[in-house]
Amino acid sequence: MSYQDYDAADFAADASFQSWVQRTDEAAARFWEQYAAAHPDKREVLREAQMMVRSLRFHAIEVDPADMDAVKAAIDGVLDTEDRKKNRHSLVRRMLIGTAAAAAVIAAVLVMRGPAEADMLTLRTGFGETTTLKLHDGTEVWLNANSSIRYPLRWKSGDVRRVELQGEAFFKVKHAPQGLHPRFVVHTALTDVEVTGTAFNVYHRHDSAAIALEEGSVTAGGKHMQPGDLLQQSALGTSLIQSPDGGFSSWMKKRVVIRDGTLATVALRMEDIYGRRVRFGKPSLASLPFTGSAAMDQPELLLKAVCTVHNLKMREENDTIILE
Amino acid sequence: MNTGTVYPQHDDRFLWDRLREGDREAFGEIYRRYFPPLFRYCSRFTQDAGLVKDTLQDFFTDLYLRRQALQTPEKPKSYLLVSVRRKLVRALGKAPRSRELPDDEAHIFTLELSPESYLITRQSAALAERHIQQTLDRLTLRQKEAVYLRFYESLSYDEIAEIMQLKAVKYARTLVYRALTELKPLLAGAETLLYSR
Repeated sequence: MSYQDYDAADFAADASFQSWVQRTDEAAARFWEQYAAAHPDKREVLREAQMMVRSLRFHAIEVDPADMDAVKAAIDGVLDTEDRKKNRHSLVRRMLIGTAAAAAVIAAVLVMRGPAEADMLTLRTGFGETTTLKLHDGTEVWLNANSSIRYPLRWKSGDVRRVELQGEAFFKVKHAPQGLHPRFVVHTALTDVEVTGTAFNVYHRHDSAAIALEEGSVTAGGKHMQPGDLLQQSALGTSLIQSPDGGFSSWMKKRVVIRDGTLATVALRMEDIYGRRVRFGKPSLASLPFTGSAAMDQPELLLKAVCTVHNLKMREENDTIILE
Repeated sequence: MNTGTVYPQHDDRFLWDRLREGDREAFGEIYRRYFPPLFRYCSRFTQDAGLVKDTLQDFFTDLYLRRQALQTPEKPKSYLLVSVRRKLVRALGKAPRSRELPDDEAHIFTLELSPESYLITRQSAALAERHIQQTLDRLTLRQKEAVYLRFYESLSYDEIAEIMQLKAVKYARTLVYRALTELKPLLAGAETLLYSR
């Protein structure tokens, strides 16, 4: 169900809507203020929903953190004993095998160690910093600012090539590398992107994901994408649209580009890429439109452009940029 | 204390996959995420905090010990709520006081407004407060439970139907809307108060 079909009770039950009304989440506030401004037809319904959230606040008995730790300690006690019992069995078995060929012992030990977790690597970028890396199969990755990728040192021939991404990255996937699995999967908290030899951009922050395809073919969120497609996923649902060129993966050319966005988009990008907080003197400013770009190492130019276009003033207060 | 600090960023599917492989850190993270809502929910059915803690301790121990038989649930929160509800109702059935009750149904579900509710802050007179609680008490147990799951835990009607073992999703919706109809005079009253100031 999309927000368009929501009635007051549906809005009132929505966790993000609740955190706006209760002022516990700024990102939610930005989203809902924008939503309310863009949907004047929903004004009555939203007002009724706000009233319901404020009224239907229930008394709940929360667990005391000390109790929660005590229960966990009791559980850990039981589980440690269970794990020890198991290990004692396998020790006996290992000693029996010890009389057989040494190779068999090595195999047994490897199996017991389970998946080669130690061989997973994580690469992280700081704010305002991008980097590139080449994976074991020859796939090239450009990692945008404030992002991280988890990948194995090497893949075994039978394993699907799989990496985990937080933030944003551009992938140029090696097509069917010799001796390795043809499938390549990018996993984010929201979605899996399935690839066979292709170049594409994956963006996942703030509970929304966007996948832009440049060449080849990928499947994401159950949808098959063509080059030039942009797939967006969020709490609002999944949609497949034509990619506005330059918007995604422009960061690879070290540029920040905002196309048909709002000042809220600018604020979000400033936070994602530079870790800088942007606030507005009046909430309504957040929904003003904005299109513009700047070199990645000069974010102040983007903010200056915002001020010029909308005749705003910019000042800094405790590391927060305030536009008014 | 080993309460899972290694995987705070990972999604549920990742954690459940790890849990199945016997990863205690992943188990710790699942515990850290879901113990509080499960405790809140169980506490609606009984005042006996000791019983709730014991039930949850057994529940999480079983979750780890039976990990190999687990499927990664589509919606972990409602999966855990429905499983823990079953376990708790069984435990309540065993408690000596309530032997006469049917095995598969809870006999209590408390729903009280928090002091932060507009209805209470705006109508502070003790009389009004009692009136509000009386109205809430007119709701059936199932209505109360559905309202709690919908507005406090933000669960979907699908999930509510699953947890409360309703035959169809529409019954979850009906429970919530019947309750809202009962509460309408209260909500309308609060609105008048708010906008007349």
